[in-house]
Amino acid sequence: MTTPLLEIQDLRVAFHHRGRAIDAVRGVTLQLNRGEILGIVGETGSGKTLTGLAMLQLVPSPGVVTASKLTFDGIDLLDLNRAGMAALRGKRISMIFQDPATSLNPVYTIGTQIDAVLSVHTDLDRNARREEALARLVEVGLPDPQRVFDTYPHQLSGGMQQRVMIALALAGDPEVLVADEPTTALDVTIQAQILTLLDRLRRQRGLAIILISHNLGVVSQTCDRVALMYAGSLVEEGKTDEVLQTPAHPYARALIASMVRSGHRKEPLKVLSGSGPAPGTIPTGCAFAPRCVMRVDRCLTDTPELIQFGERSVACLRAHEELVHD
Amino acid sequence: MTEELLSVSGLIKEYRNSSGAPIRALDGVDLTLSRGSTLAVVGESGCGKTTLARSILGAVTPTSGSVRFQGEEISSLRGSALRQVRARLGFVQQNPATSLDPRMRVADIIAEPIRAHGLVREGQLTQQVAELAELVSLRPAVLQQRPMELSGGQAQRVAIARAIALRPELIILDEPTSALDLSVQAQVLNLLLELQHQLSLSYLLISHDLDVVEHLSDTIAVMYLGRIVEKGATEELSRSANHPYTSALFSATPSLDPAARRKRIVLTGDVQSSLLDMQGCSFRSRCWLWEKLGEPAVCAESQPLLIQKSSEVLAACHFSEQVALAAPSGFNET
Repeated sequence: MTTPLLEIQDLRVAFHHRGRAIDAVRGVTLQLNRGEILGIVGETGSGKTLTGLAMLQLVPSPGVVTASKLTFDGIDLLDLNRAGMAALRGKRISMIFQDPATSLNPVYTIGTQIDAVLSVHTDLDRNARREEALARLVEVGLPDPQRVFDTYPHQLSGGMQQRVMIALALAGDPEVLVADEPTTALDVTIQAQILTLLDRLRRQRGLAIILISHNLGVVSQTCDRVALMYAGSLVEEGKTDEVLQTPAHPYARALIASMVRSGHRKEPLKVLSGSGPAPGTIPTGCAFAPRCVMRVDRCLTDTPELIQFGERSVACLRAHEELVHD
Repeated sequence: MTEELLSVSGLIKEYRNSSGAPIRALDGVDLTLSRGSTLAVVGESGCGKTTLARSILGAVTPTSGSVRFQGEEISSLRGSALRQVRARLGFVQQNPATSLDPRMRVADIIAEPIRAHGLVREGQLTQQVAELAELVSLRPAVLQQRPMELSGGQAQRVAIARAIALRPELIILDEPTSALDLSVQAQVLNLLLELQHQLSLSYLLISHDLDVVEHLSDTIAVMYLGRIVEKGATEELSRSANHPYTSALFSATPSLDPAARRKRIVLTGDVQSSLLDMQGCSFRSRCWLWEKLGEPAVCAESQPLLIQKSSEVLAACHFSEQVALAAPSGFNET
């Protein structure tokens, strides 16, 4: 068995406010292997973006990141100082964000921006860097790279900007790409192009990808494994098709059941009532218990641990009822 | 024959780009919407769907063509006549966080259109706002709150309550659920269907989310670069497309079905700008079917017209009968 490229155990992100710690991420355990695409899904406020940011030491101040283990290729990320992390970030682990228009610098040309990354992470001279930058633009499927090289971000469409972002993120040849809602701001046909591109990069370069998304369809079409978050914790994790076709956690089941299904036009949808707890107001016991149709008394007092059932992990006190006699 | 509530014909809206060249945001759009039904307009950014909605609301003056609502020509109305027609049109925008005034209490937000049109006295207003809140399942306590205190779902209910405050017959829904979380989306879709039934509302739904469109609509119009390339009954159109753009849109919508992954059509390139001098079919440069058929010359020479393809569907493609046949069972990427 190979060791995972990225290992996360009991990751927590807390914000201290008026002498009180508010936990936004409450103990996430995940592994990512080389060449694998792992989806992290959840609704607004579930902690999925902070989980991604924590891997690159990008959690905004005053957030405090702790974990019993947070390693990348054997390197302890929590132990790394600013310089150590800076050397890793962009070089071995990269991140792209939802809105390329705000992530690119509007006053520099695309060429200048890629060149800046290459001059930090490679020893190439100026001409070689230009060749390399053009090759990167071709790699992400941008037609006419010469022209793109000399343009400013606002002269490109959203889909082209996101390709540029991916080219920038990959310029240092990273092994891991954390992509936070990379297609949410894009049209569906452009989304399909970007997802196809990510899959190709995984196959061609063995890139490992963490895809953070709120869209279960996107995750289903792209990811090998999926982790579902609720109120800062993982509630279910496993192979994408298994989790999405036969979800075991009551939250996963309710969420998937509420989706629009073809062939049931204008029929009422099953509704998951209530809304998720805000950070700092998470109840004791299971965070989902107040909304859960399977709730029993101990759900209000005992916090469920993530328990493994074959290739799937579920954090529900009654999970064995679902999974054991399957 | 059902009565037509809204009819748009030959609608053209031209803008000029920075170098003065004409650009058609709408290029001859024909649509009808019958009472009590839902028409969905789908397409990507820049296809003209928002300009179409704004023309119907009278916020954009078309270059030519007509928009008739309950038999009245909207595009020529001004001042108080336009205000009176607008009272019969509701509008729900994409993002309730930005479409609701953060300084106002929810009760005042819902009451605002009623006050603006001076329809009832203040005494009756409280009663009416309470009724509207109940219609959209908002707790009475919410009426005293301000938008920032609301969840996304509550905020969208407030926007819907405001849209139905004047009891309009037509509501324009501009991406009503795309800013909402998945679990909230189902609540809002259910509410929209209930209200349509209870109040006999007609909806013009503008969306790029085909799952939502399929769920809510009776008919679909697919737009590309200011033109309608296909329109027809939702069930037929979603089952088998007659235009290669429609089939690409449906196949690109990510679903939970593992089998759908292999059938995805990935279009190359972006939507072009709608410069006027383009000859032939404007979808040609991205058309997977054109490529597959060996780039037939007719597509480069003549703009296909929107013509009847079956009893319930019209499409604008020279090779529409090939779309379903050639659609991928193992189509691949670029």
